[in-house]
Amino acid sequence: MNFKMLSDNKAVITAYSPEESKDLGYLIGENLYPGFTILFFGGLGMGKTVVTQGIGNALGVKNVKSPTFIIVSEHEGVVPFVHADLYRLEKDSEVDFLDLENYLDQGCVLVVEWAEKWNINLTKDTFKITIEKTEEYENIRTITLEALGNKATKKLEQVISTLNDRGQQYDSTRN
Amino acid sequence: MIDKFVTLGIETSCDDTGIAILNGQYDILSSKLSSQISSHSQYGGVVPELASRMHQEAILPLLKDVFTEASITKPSKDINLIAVTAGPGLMGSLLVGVMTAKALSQGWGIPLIGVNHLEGHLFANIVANRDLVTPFISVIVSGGHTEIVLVKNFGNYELLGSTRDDAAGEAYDKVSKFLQLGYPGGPIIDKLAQAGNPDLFDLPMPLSKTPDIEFSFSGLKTATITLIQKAEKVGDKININDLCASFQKAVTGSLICKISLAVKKTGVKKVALSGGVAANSGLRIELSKLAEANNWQVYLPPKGMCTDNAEMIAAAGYNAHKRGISSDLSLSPSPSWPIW
Repeated sequence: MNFKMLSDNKAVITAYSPEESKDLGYLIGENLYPGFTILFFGGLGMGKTVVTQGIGNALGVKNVKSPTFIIVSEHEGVVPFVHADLYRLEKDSEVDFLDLENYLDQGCVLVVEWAEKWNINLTKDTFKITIEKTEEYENIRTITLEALGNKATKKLEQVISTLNDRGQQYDSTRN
Repeated sequence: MIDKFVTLGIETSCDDTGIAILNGQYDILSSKLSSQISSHSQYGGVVPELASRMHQEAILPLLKDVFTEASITKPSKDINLIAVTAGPGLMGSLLVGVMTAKALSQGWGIPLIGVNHLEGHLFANIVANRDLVTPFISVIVSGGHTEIVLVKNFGNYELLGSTRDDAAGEAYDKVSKFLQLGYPGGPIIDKLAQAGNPDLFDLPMPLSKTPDIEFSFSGLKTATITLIQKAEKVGDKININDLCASFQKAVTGSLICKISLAVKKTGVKKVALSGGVAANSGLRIELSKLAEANNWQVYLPPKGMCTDNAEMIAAAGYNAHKRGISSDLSLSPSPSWPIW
């Protein structure tokens, strides 16, 4: 896993395998607090659920599966953990019907896959995570982490600092 | 006319509204389904708000039809039990069934029981196969679930394994949507696969080498999509039939391999398949072949009972009632109700 900061509140991480993506999820999960939102962007097969499994593991939830079918999956974790997947939804009213903000008011950690379908303007306590595939390598993912709000930015610094302590500096020659 | 024990079954966990009347454990007096598939197909899946509204529109007319067909004129006297799916499923959808069941239970003074949808799927095989007795291995494969369960006795279940990520039916739906083939993906890909060469594309058979009973269909989905994208990039024309056949081979291969492992680990040689993917012809054929070669018994519900229906809910509810289980008016939907 390599990383570099793009700005004060934005970092890009390269994960070289699904295991590394999951590991990054775990690091993120360790830094979350009640009322925190993770918004995932990126198409089919990018590994959003894989990163979420890592997040879930950090919160003490072992059986994180794709919630595509039931749309919203509620888990009892160290912090209550709600995993939503908007893949099937099209209209704003359909997403509004889920009342996702209510989970935040209740102090849950909220993870939303296919967040491009949620018309909401969150300004704090949020990570926006965009996952992209590199052209050449099937298993490599470029993961952009953007923190919204001061507290979330501190948490992003914490994630990056942990990666840094592990000596996983960004290596431009590998990309 | 009706002199045994009559259960009214109500199923609204996803996109089908189902109402059934069952006499005893096996006799279906009437069963009706209002499928929403055509309404959802343009979205490539079930839309919760729409589903909830359509259940509300369908449930009372269906109830009336079923009563007419089963010659029920005085529900408060003719019906002994109301069984309703209380989870897992979509909150808005479950709510319609549970609220209706509670209202009927209170209005008619009939006992109520909340049924777990997955336990319901087990009972699809019980209703369809009177000779199926415990213990047996139940394989539930659908758009939302991929689970292998040892049914020791009714009410006594052991989860032998399940998917780590996507359900088998979900992989079908997502690949189908990516190829713009339509929804639900299972029957469409199954049909195209019949005309294709399953050995043309080398897709991974997930977890086939691991010693555990577990599935993972997310990687297979990604590999299939990557294969299509790569071909598009270099301008290769992929034969969709061959791709569907190769994809289906990987899914059924993975299921068959872990079902074999479950039989080997438990020594139980009776396998009952249920859930929407149980209607897949590739899976039915492969499983039947394997069973014949190894002297197992395989139980397959008729295709119409593989997908969601209310007979199975009535049957599971009746069985649970006999075991002394009941619900009261505090019953509420549980979208992620774990049973095993």
